[in-house]
Amino acid sequence: MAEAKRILLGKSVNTGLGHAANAPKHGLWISKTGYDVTASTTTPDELAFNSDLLDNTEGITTKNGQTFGVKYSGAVTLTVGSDGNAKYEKLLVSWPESTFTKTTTGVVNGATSSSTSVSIDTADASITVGMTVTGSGISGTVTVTALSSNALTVTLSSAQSIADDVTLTFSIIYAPLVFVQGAKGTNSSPTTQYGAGSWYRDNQTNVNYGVLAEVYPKNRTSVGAYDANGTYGAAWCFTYAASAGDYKVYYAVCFPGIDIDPN
Amino acid sequence: MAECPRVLAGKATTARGGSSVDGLWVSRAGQNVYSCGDGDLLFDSRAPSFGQILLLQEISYSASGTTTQDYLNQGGVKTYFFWWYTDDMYGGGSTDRYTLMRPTSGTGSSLVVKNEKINSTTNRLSVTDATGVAGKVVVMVLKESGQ
Repeated sequence: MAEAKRILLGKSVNTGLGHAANAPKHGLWISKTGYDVTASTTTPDELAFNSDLLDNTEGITTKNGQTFGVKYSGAVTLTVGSDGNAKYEKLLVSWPESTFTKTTTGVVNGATSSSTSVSIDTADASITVGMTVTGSGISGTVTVTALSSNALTVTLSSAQSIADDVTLTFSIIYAPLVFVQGAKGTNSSPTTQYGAGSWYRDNQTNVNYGVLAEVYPKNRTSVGAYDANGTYGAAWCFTYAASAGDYKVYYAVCFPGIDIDPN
Repeated sequence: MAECPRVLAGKATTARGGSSVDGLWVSRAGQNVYSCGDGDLLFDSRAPSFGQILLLQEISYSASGTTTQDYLNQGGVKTYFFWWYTDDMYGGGSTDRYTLMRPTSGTGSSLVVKNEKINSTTNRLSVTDATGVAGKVVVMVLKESGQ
């Protein structure tokens, strides 16, 4: 028996997926095993991959169905002693802030004089509140505090005098998505893996938290320490003593970045 | 040296399941998509799930109450979600960070984060705070595509 059609690459008019002959969609759709991706009876819940995931709900910054991309991965050994509630922690990995920095540009539309409001030629959805602004005429540390509804007027955190047609650069450091997984080791070989809920965080509160990761997107040194002028991000793991021994902690530092609350 | 084949669309090779199978496969750099192991694939159309992310962002919540945020469930697809506590990820200072879960003392749960299906088009995230202090969480919602 022939296998069901499972991949649709290009134009879709499948009404089951919400498309129509007079309003087709273009993209890539892959159905789950046993479902025909071209059949009108196939629904979005029966897709394994859908390149058409959009959401304009207020307060949401949609990722459009982006998948994980692992930037760094590895493992460290966390040695835990037998001293009760002591906290044990270790640097997993550090990275240059530029690794997870979004940057875009905008051209000034009309000179400004000691104004916090500046217009740009073209709307750019990637300009967001919180971005740092640099360019000719920008003095001091300046950030975006608001955007007009049409995204053509940017409000700056301090008044600036900027000439017409100057190209401004907007940038922001983002935190990556980090996963960790702990494993109890015998010598150097992991034998038992632990996740959240299976490893006592400490003996006093009896709360099961497992191994935790703390992710710092900026202001770190290359060894993960805090420095107000640091140019690295870092991820640390920590736990509280439950039983002594060496614990392997595996990590994956991934794209995409975490978006700041747009509200 | 010529790069090895990395994209296979259409009829499968023996390593990809045989000639009765159709699909789309992409291998890692340096791996031949026709013959490499499944563990060397970046994309395998026969996988049950691709972990597509619907949203990954901060949500600010109010003190001593429940804060909600709606999002589209893309035709009623099942979703998985994860959340993390964040001190002040971008505000400045040594605690610019997010953490797997909130490091708190005591046995009570300080924050309850839920993901609920409201109707055929909308899901709702809710954050209920019992600490009396407003804050932020990082929330990730995945489009579930398991079998």
